[in-house]
Amino acid sequence: MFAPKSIQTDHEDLIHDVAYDFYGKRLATCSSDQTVKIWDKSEDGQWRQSACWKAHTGSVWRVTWAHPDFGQVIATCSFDRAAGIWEELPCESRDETSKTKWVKRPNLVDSRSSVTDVKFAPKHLGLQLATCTSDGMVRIYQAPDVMNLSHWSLDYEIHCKLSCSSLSWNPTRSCPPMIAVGSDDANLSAGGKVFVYQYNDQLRSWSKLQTLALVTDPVHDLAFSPNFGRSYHRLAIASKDLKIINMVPIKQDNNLETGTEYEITLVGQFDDHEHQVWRLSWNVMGTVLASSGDDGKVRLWKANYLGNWKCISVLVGDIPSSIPESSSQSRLDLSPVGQASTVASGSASNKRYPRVVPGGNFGAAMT
Amino acid sequence: MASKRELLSPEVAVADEQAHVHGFMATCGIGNRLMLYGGSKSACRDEGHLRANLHHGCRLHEVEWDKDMHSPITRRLVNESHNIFVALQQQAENLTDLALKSYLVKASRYYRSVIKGCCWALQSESENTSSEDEKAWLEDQQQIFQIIELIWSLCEILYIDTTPGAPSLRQLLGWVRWHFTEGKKLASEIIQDKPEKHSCYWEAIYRLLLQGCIDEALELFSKHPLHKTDSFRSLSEMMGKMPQLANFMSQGRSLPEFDIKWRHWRDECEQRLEAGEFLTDSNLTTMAKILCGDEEVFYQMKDYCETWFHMLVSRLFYQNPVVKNSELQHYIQTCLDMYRGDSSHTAQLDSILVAVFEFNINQMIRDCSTYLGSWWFTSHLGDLLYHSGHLEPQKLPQGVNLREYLLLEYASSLMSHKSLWAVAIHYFDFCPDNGSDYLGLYLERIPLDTEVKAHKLLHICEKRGLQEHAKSICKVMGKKCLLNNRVGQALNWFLKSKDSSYATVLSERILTEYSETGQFSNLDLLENLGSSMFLSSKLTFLGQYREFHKLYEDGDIQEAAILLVSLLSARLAPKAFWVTLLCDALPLLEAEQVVISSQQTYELMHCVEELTKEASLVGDENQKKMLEVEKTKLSNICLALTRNLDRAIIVEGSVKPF
Repeated sequence: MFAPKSIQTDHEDLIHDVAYDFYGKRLATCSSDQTVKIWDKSEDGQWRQSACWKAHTGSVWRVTWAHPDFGQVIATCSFDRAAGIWEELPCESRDETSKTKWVKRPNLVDSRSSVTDVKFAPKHLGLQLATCTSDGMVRIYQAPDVMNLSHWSLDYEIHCKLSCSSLSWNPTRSCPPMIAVGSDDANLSAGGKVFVYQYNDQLRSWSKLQTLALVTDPVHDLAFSPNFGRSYHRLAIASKDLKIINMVPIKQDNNLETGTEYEITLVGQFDDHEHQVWRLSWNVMGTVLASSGDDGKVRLWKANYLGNWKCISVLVGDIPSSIPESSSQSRLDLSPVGQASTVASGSASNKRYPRVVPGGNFGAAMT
Repeated sequence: MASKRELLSPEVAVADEQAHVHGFMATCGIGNRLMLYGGSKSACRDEGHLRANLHHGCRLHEVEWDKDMHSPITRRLVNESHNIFVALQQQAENLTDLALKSYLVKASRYYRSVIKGCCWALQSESENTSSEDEKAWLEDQQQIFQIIELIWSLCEILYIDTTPGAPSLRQLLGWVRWHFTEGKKLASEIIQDKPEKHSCYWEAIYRLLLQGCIDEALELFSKHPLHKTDSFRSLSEMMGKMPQLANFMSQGRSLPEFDIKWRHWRDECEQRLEAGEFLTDSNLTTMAKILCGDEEVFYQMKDYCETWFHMLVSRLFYQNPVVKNSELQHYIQTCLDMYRGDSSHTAQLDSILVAVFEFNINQMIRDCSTYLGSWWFTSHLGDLLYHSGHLEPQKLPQGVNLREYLLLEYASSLMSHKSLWAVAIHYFDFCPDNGSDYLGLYLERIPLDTEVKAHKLLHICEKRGLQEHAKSICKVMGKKCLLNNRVGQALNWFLKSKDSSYATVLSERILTEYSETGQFSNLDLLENLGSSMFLSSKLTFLGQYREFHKLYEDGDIQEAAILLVSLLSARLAPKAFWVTLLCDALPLLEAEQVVISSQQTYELMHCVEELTKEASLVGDENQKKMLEVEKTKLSNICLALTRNLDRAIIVEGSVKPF
């Protein structure tokens, strides 16, 4: 059963990104109004704003949390060509009302154009951060000393040649660091729009592993699925349609020069969003994927036990006044042919079998 | 087809003016939860458009699903079924064949009694509540659980509580009687007073007959004033003579024997019917036709059977009581057709029950998952069927086996709850393929609100060998304590996670605090460091230094002196702390007895020398000023050292009196 809980953000302009922290108890939002807001979930389940500050001098595109092992740290990226790192400091009085203090760790200003995405590396790689920009640069920063976040070094720069829109770290522990970068370059003849880079430990550098020829349309977002015990990687790509692909390693001699090669298999391709797909988000287990696109709807995708992906639910914005209180529209008639009396309901002889709410039941994907 | 598609992916509307224009975007949260926000289509991504078109008051919407199990009543169901589940897994490992089979039957009944209990609780709750919305929800839930019970008991009859070769019709009758009580209710209502006058007299008898309640029907029938007439007596006789399978089985007689008896009996019924014995009363004819299993008469009984599956059981009882379970499916279509009416639409419950009768378990579970709200039902039933050998483990290149898929989904739906996660953990434990990976990913995301909870989680991780997660928990807790300035507690957590860099930082903090205040915080911790002291050299020093203080306080001056000198001579102490240590040596040097030997004094002098040399190299003005203070201290120490050396040489040079 869906039960929406609404929060007034008071952002003065469009929200571009919303990020849950590792535990889902805090929320960071960023907006075209150049601010970042932090929200904390209280005991009663209400979200309360605990901090708000002007983070950039342009639209803030993305916000992301570092793993709590590194403290309370977020990173932002903006149209103002900077990426920011922010850390929450211990504050003297810890009562509920006091707003916490977030301080700016260095502003990463290496870019000469809008920074379109920012992502922390998975925890096992230490405190690393990757950014990508609209002039096609991917930069990887590191905080060499996790006690001191005011110092970050720019360790690597990768030139992608095409305007970058999004990037994603491969969360798999067992493989060398890997990043997928998506390009929103509109030129279809420019070839594949998803690049996969891998870090080579011996050469101490990042190199391109593969360009996915599968996607030649502009890519707006991509995301590696969380991985648990799978031997292959899974990547979701938002382009003119939604694609879910698997990267299956091809067994070969340990060729350290080129790294492992992957065979790309298409697991699912969906054009339900009618045109462009804009954003993707995996759940923690990688069992549910949320996508949003030109049709203005959010679609939830899930695989059944046979590994087939299906759209299991659609969320759509509606004009406030026309909404009934509960999600009663989505009820199904589950009555059997004919009528039945039910035992426990006593008086209810000849009562029809109940109507069941299917909304939000992920079992739908079983079929 | 279009409507079918709608059913599979229901659209849920969320009120948001902005999203209505610009569409939604979403971010997944932990558990079955996501945050929606008014999206930005292509046009919104360029800065010019954004400037021109301000969007005030953006809203977020947090959406949750699969929360049905989180209400207090269903929570009880979760806990109780959890106990049954865990016990079942253990028994399934130990028991075999017949013992396992009888245990499975028992487990199935436990589950059903829990469902029943849940239904009753929901009912009484819905009677007591004043809120309309809640009442509607409770009633919905109650009905869902009634359906679940209906399906479950049918599965129990056909799959779990089976005897090879024996027909299940007897149990099916019980199933029908249990879920359709109208006949018995009517009967008990009208038997009180002049039953034959009651308008529902015949209906009650028909209903009882259709459920195979021959004795009750006979009792009611005999209340009729005409029961002494020939035709009534003839029918009563036939009803009384009807061979009952249950009796046969309990007497240990064979099925074919029953079959012969039963056929004889039916032939006799038919003969009497054909001979016109019951023509006196149309109701008697109808009754006789039911006994004979007459095809036509069941169409008249349609309303009394209420549903096709009741009809199926009623018909079989009179037409083919020894039907094999595997043959049941051949009789379904006729019964379905009787109730189909104009529309060719088959409701979900129907298709689920058809799948059960057809032994199409995968289909049944798929349909149930789709239409019955939560994962609770399919996961537990699936598990039970798996243990009874009906759910074949499928190994597919991409998919997972169905039992595990269901259990993982169910457990996942509990993980987002603030206390039910503790139950969910045991379900992951019994998923051999992916359980521990799932558990790991979920465990690390359980918010560590309290120390108790953190310890509990730590214990869970350690028990399952999830070292990485255990470490992470300690690290996060340590950071948290640090954020609240609880240094000692923080140190404790970092020691647990063997995090040497943080241990170093915290040791330094405690030392600085000491040199500022002259007091140690967290004495308990420092005095009981044990072997964890060796995690970082700073910590080792801190521990040893505290040990020195303790020795000194206890008056063990000799030991204290040895420790102090060794701290300096082994260069274990950070240089910034040397002056403090040397000052600590002062009282020892000035002690009445010589406690620091000449050799040890030389060591200390070396240190003083080193410090003085370094001081002369420093150029900064401020630092120079600071050093002035230290220099005075050092010259005092120097003085004390020489005096002590003086005494020590004399003492060491003298012959000790024995």
